[in-house]
Amino acid sequence: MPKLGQPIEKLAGLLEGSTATPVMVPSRLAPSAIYDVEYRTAVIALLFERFAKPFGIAGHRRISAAKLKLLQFVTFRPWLLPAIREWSKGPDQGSLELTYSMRIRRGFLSDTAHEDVIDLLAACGIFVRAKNHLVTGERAGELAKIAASVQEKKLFDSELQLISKLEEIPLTNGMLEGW
Amino acid sequence: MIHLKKIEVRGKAEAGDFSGALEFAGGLQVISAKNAYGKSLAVKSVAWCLGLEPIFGNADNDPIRLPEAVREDLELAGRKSRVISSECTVTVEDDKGRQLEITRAITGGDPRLIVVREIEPKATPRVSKLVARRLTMQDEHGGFQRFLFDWLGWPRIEVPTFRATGAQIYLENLAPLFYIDQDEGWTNIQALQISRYGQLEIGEIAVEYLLGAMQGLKARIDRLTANQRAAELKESAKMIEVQLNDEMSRHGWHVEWSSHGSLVDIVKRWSKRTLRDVLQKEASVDLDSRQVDLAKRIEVLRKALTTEPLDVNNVNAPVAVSQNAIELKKKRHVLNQDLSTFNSQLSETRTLLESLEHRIHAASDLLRLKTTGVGRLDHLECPTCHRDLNPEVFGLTSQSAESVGAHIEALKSDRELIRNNQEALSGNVKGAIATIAQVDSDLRDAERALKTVTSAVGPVREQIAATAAELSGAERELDRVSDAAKEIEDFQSSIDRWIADARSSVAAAESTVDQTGIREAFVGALRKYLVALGHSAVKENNAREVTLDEQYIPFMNGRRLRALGSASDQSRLVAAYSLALAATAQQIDGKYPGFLIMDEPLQQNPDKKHRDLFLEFLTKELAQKSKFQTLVFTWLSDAEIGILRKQGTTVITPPGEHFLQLPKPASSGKLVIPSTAATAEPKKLG
Repeated sequence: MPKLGQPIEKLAGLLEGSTATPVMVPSRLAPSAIYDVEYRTAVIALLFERFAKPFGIAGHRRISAAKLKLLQFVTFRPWLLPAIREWSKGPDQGSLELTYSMRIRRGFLSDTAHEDVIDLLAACGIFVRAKNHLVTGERAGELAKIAASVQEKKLFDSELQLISKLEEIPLTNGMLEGW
Repeated sequence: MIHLKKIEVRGKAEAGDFSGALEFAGGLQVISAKNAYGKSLAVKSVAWCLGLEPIFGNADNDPIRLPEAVREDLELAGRKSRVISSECTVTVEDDKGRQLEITRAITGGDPRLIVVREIEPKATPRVSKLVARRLTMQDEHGGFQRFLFDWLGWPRIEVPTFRATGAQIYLENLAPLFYIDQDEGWTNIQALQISRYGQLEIGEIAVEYLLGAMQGLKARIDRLTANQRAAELKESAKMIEVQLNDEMSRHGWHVEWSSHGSLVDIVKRWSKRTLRDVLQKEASVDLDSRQVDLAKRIEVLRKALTTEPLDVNNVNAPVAVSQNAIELKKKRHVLNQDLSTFNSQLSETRTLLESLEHRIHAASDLLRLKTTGVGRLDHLECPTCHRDLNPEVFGLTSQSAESVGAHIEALKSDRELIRNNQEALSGNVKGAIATIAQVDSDLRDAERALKTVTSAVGPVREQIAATAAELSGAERELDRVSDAAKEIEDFQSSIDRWIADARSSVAAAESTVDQTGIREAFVGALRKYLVALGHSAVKENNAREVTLDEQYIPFMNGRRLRALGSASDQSRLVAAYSLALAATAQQIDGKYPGFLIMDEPLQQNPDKKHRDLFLEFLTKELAQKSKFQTLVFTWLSDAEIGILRKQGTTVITPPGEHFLQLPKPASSGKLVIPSTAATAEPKKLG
């Protein structure tokens, strides 16, 4: 909040000479929840729990990094669900299905906040990057704990409902190209 | 008023028949018997015979509250014996000498029925079988409470409830004020009052009923009903608003007719202007003028068609009719474009609203995460060097709970705006659809007119055909305007009716009745009894500070009396309240039944100091000379009995070890029920 307040203070300074009266509305300065690292981590935990598959013999699990990126992108934006469903149904899974694929692809490819969260989780030892996949790291248990506690306390249930719907939509390699 | 004359319990056990009885006179009676004698059985028999089991939280017709001795096993002469059947009878007598014997089976019979024997001087006794609980007040012919209220001359009064179903004042609503049960009755004033029926303000209603404050009671019930009606009226106002706005949109008229605010606000707003005024001012629609104009136009067209001369050289008729059709087509096209835009905007708005709902939900969950810690990473640290990791280094932020809360508020504010936008767009869509329907209809008329005019031969016929089509259109338009005017009239009638209802409801909600006299009499008696019973906070010199609030709750110097004094004063307050109510009702001809049962008042404060205080009260004139019957069930030592009797207080000491006894054969061979009459003081019992 204080960080956000500074540009406003600057603006107030600029307007000082004018007849305008700067009014600060704190609720309008609050950033969206979508930029919160904890919200994103919780959603990634739920997605990883549902979509990651066993990998190797040491009990590890992994998920395609692009798939996770697309899944979380839609989970935060449920209004995209019909679009991704149609895109998935498309004859060539997206390459020529411009109506749906372009909109989503443009959005999710530029979702750098997700990459930042994955970097943080990798730095914490929760994920290990393995080529195009994310594999469970030595502290991956923390992520499982988050997923379990969130479900137990019925937090983010609308996101969970959406994740259930996403499970029914096949995400093909074609849809994940170019990330 | 009535008094209890006799309590009897009898039955059959494997060991033989058993029975017990207690007889009473009027005024104060102290029934002293040791613990386990069976006093509780006698007291609870009264509640059972009157069908009062709901006050103990028991199911209807369930005698579980009565001791096992009359339900399962009876121990007689040191031997347990299974009870085969049992029943109890309570006899009451009124001031005119009419008696009522009320008998109800406990076990081995049908506890759902109460057998009532009416005994009147110089008349043959009449026996009726009545239903104890089910529809007991509603059943005109078979309900026990219905019968009892009629016999007592008590009015039946409907009281509003929290639920849609109505209720009346039942005996179990009044009983907590004349039947003080030893287990719970002493914990608070009306501790056994029933709340599960959902009757509103039943505690206050019970007090007013017993005081006979019928006008005040009516005003209270009217006010409660009015408050409930106010909620219904708010709903109906909303319905009128929705229907009216729909209708206005259908005609393509935009008016503001809102049902927001309190009932008084709505009445004020809706009575300020009529619908026609609003239509004229906000939608520039004057139905009266339109009707007049159309009527004039129809008249002119009729004349033109029938009597006015025609210009044989005028060939413009087909052109004008054709032009009209073209204009209408253009108009429809524009309207369809508008409708398409509105629909598209509405769809986008709905999506936006859904998205906002999701975002509010997500942010609310995030706030829970922030405040409870559920779903949080415990510690962000590098697994190799164990240094703390700062999310900001990764370009990420972890928001504070305050920030998330502020974000939620902003989202809610946005949602409100979008909802308003959605409502406005819905109105636009409805309006556009209505206008298109109207234009479609006009276009069909215009096309028909064009067909007729183009098929007419010669300018004269063309003019006649065009005028006829125009006349037909004007007549239809007049019909439509007349219908709309009729609808507006209907709405105005509904609104007027609503305003009248709301005004009477508001007036009823504000109605009060001056009950100062009754209230003063009650509070005066309460002060006297509190002092006489030795309430530690109420003395002769400050008793005047005791008051009653609107709910008949005793206060003293702005504090609840319940919160003043010591814990031992609780039972004194309960006793004083019931005694004062009985005394006041006696004084002002109220509906108090005429007897007050106090079960084990001394057990509430068993130490000597408090026993002495209560015993002292029993020797006072206030207690002894009351015109109503006070039955105190307790145990007193021989010395205490001696003191009380010396001071003139009636003490009944029932014979034998137990209330229930095996009957002794009389010389005639008939069974004789053991009674207290022989062992109480005969001169006092009369």
